[in-house]
Amino acid sequence: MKKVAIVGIGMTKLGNLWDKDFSQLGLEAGSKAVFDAGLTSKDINSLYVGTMSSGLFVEQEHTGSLFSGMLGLNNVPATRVEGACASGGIAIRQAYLDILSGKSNVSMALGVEKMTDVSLSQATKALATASSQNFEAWFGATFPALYAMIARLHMHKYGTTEEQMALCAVKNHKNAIHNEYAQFRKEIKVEDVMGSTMVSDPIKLLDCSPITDGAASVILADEESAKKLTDTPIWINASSQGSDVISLHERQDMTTLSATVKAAKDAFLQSKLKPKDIKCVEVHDCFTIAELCALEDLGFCKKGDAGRFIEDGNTHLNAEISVNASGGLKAKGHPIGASGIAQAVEAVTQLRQEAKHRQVDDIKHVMTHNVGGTGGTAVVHIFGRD
Amino acid sequence: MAIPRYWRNTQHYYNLIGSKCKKCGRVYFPQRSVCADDDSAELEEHPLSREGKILTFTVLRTSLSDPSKENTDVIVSEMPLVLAIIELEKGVNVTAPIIECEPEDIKIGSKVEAVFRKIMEKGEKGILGYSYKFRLMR
Repeated sequence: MKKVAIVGIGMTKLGNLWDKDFSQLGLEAGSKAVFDAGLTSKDINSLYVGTMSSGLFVEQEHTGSLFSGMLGLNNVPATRVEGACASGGIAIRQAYLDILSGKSNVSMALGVEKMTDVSLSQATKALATASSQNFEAWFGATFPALYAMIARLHMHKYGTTEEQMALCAVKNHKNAIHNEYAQFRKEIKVEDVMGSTMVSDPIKLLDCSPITDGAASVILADEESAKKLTDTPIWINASSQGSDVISLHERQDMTTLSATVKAAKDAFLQSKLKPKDIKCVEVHDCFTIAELCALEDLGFCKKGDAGRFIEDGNTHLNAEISVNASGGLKAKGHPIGASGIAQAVEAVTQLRQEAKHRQVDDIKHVMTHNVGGTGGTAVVHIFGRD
Repeated sequence: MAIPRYWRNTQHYYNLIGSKCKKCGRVYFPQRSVCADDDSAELEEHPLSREGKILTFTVLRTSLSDPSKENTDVIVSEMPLVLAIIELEKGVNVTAPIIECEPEDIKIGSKVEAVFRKIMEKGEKGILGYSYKFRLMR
């Protein structure tokens, strides 16, 4: 099997970036990745852009062309991919498959989202397009409401508590203090989460990831090119993707994301690794309950045990498994289409041993887990030093 | 929501009519023309039970609707909005509001019945949308 590596990474600061336009964000992240790889834009053979809803957020579609032009690429194929919040993860996977197919030696994946140019209600409406319009959003369901129903059921079935969920937000905020790209670099306490505004019972404001502007990019290369470019290529040990019905109510078990289960199973098969080999994982914590479900569905603890697993301190930096060392979507920020790529940027930073105060010790592999909607799409990658 | 788009769904929204695969018996809601399990195109109309039980729920306290904006679909609901996933038949669930209740009366397992209610107004002169909602069975 051919090997593919990440040879360049770049991202913007995440947050309310009033002074930066959608196109400028993509240019900044993409050009940083090109420079990091020691390449020029003319060396890129193909571009995959992950953006969820640029049409609704900034009235801009045709983003493949937009960013190919912004970055000065050489008329190469430039394709936008969309899978809601998993758009970024899919972009990486498509770039990876492009190289495996032999059509490209060096490809770029670029994720961009500009969410703060619209009102909060317009942003919520744009995000709700990742659910069934006719049978969920029509009835007033928003994403906090859908994840709240997952949380309620998880609490009912497994005795999970609101405090256990809050601990994810507390831990992720703590990790984000050491991430210069993060939207929130401020410690919070369990009491702050518990006392924050109720959005949709039992989900409170500080259980939710924020509205974020930002972009992230990675450059992928085949083995021969990668070895020429860098002494520290970060290899893609596995790239997998799963899907499921779009509506939460159609799932047999609404506390399990079957798309994640499938993608994780494929990723472990491809990489010949086991959950115990992964000491660092970036999971898709769009809401704190999503971090619990992810730990279970990826195989890091038994179904229903995530609340206790977290309460026992297993997910802190350099504990049993470092979960969201970057601060996760909760504290680092969640620029929808860019989030999956920002996870990969963190994985590469960790594996290059460049994460400074949030560095996970002695890691050989990092897993990333990117979810679209309530689990209609899931993408899992495993990155490694060899 | 555009008028034809709304009209196409009225069978679902008004009557809770699903479809049933003649071959394997699997029931779908919304209706569909091909069975996902055995690829059979032999499906028949299947009216769903109008009674069910709550599998999970939430009390939504922030609204999508923005009545100050002209020509936007306004979801007609009083805040807080109780939303639930309701099992109507084995394996056939819907997401819908629970109305005429105090949020604290709702429990997982509560029995509910479907009612016909207004759910959307499109501007001052636009169409009105109606659909199923549920209330606790007395």
